[in-house]
Amino acid sequence: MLNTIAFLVLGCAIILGAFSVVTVKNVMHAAYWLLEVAVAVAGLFYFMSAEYIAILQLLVYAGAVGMLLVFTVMITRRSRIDNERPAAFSLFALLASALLFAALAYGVLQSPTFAVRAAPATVSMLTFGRTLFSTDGWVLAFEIASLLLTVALVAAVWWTKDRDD
Amino acid sequence: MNPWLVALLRALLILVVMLLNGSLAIYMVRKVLGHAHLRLGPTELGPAGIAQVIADIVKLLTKEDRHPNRSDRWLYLIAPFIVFVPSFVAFSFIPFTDKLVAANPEMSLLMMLAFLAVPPLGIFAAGWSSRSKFATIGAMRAIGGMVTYEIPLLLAAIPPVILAGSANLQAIVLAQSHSIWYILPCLPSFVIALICAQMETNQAPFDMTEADQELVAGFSTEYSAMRFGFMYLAEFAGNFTFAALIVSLFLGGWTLPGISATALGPFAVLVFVAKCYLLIFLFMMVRGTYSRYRVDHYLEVGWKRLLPFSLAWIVVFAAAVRIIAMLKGGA
Repeated sequence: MLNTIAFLVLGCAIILGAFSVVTVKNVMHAAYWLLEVAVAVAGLFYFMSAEYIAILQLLVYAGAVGMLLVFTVMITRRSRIDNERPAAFSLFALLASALLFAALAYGVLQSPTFAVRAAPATVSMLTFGRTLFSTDGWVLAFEIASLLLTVALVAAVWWTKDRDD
Repeated sequence: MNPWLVALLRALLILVVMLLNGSLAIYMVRKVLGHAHLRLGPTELGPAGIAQVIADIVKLLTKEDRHPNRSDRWLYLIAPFIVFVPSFVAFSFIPFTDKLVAANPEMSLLMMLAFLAVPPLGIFAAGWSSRSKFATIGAMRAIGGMVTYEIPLLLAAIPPVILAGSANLQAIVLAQSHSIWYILPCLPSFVIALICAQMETNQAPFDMTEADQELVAGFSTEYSAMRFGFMYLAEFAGNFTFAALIVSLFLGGWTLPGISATALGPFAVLVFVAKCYLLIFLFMMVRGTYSRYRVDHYLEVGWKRLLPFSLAWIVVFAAAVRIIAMLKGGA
């Protein structure tokens, strides 16, 4: 009962937010709608007993990515008047999103877990860490990702420093 | 009992505690900062000026709720709540005693930190939408500062988690009551957490977003009445939340060394609140003592000193924990 209501509220919030991200003309408003979507998705994860994913969603998407978006908008606009973006209708974008939706819907409906509705299993931080860092788990992918991020970081520092010579 | 009713009552209780904390903090900030500056603070209303708080609240509640003509209306109106609501949620994870905690999920420490990451976005919204130069500069600084100091804060919370073996604030407090307060083995983390807390709560020497002498009142320059009140309430709640976080992580939470939880009984909550306010007092004394950093220095301290230091300290700490565990296992 409680879960169903929470699901409905959060689901509506996500759909409304996602719709607004696309339709709102002001880019800053769009960024804040995206933030709302991220928070609502985190809530959804929480109600599905995926506490850890909810926290990551909040920290990474609402915190870091939201911050990044806002930062980008802030430093690329010369005046706050050109916050407005043109509302251009694109048939190609519509087609592409329809295709993506169809593919995702097909994938979800085909997947065996969709019908089963597995009982909610709370993944503790311990199991999560063990899976992430064990050699038969995801440790290789994890290390490759962190190497990639380090490379990006070094490149960014190199890019921003003075190169007058 | 009806779960909705329980949730509602808990939320109301947190709100009441937040309001009480806010009104106490208004008085405290005036008196402590006043005396730190060899002033008296409020003296006229009531004994030692204590009724000044009531006058302040009445003023906030009755003033006109205005907004600048060319402000970004939608964001401007909603921004105080983007600041207030996450602060409110973060407040609910504070473990006042072993039973008195509004919400106690398994990873309450991470939850609290995650929610504490959101208010700067509200501060940015407030500053940006005001369409005032002071507010915009304050907003930009809020974002820059938050990006800088969020990471060392998260890293500072790791050593207590390693020692306690849990990311639940309650479990960390209990683990400390069985061994020692984590301020001793994790002293560098404690110092880093203090610095980051001082920054995240926008207090001098890191009050970049407000910086009275440079930016009038920074992000909140254009705000008035209760919208201003909500942002300040959130800020004072933030002070308390950060103090509570540090008390729980490093200073034993609601426990006292040598006294069992059952013996402490109802006084546990007093112990906890007293510790928190002592820490807030320390924050305020720092705020009254040191002058403000320059913005570039402030970012430099974060990126070039605190961040590498916290990373190195975690490696050292984790290695030491491992070695001690091996020695104990070997002996």
